Amino acid sequence: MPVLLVTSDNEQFRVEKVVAQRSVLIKNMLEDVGESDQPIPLPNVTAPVLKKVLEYCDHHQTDPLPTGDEPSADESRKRTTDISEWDQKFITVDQEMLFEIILAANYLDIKPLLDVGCKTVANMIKGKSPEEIRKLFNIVNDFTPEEEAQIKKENEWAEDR
Amino acid sequence: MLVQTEKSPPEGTNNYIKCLPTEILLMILEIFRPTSHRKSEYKSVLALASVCQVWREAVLNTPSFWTYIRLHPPNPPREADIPHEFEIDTPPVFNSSYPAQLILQLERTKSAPLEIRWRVKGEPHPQLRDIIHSLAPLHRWRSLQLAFVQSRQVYIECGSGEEVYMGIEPELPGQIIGTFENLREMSLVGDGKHLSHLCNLVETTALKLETLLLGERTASLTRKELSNTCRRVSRFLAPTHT
Repeated sequence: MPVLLVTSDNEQFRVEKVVAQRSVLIKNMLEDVGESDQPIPLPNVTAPVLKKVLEYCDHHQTDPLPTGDEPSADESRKRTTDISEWDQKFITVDQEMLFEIILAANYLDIKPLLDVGCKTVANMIKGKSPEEIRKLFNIVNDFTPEEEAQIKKENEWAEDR
Repeated sequence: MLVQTEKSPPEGTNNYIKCLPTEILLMILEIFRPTSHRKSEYKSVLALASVCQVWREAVLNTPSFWTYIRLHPPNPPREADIPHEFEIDTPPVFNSSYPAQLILQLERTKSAPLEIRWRVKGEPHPQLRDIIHSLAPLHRWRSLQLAFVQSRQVYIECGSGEEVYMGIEPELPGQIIGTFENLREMSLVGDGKHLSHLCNLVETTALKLETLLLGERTASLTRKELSNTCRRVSRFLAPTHT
């Protein structure tokens, strides 16, 4: 049975329930309201972002759902920055869309998509100097001269380790 | 006073990452959380803490970024760097900032479990015992990699000749007090004859120890002293020919 989703900019998306339920938020909403034709409002997601998110959900509709409590032994594996080939292509978007997808994945509670987004940002950061990171994300260096001096000292110490 | 003017991003661009809530920023940064004592991992954490105030606050206030602790001072200079007048009574502590670095890092771990690496060479730094007792009590140690190096080997390593054989004997900071109640992993490498005190502490208090790795000479000398521990652990590795 299809589900009707309505974005913040009032676009409607009719999707299969199995696809929509990749979102734990939507899954819980559907369980709460039971069988209903009522559209589900998603006030924190715009149409272009939801379109992209649904593309992900459609591709991964048969994946096993995450259990929630990952065993701690898997933690280090989870923290690696490996991303599957399809996910990599999917997430090759501009920065604005990348961070919109991350925010939407967080709001809609789609843990695997949130992981892909975070790993992608981590891959962008990896191996870069603070100055390069600032440039990449347009971050302002807002340290006081005292903090700059402390940072410099710590970096010098690290060289001697 | 803020340092901003020259470092602000060019007009017309956006700082999208700033829109992320702190918990998501932390999820990204935590991918860089160290999993070993490697210098490169520590430097990555420092780089993240050097980007801006928000990132720095996130990293500095997350203990797990700082828990891989080296209790020994940085490596001594390479042979070529050692001055000719290097004497046997020169303690192998070459960096005066070492205690300050250690204290700063330990303070950032708050009460998190610690992963300790300790290469004992010669006489430990006079402040080390106090630092351990006040900031890194034994009950917080989750893992311990202890390499015990005789001063003779140290000086040979430094290439300073036979006369230094009479140098300082290595020893753990006298009478470290505490219990290893949360120690899960331990590896011991080196000459076991100085390890009685440590072995006794492990035998009597490291009841949750899961992994024990013994180096070649340590194996022969500590198997007896660690007999209960060897039976208790689920993973025990030691050279078989000793």
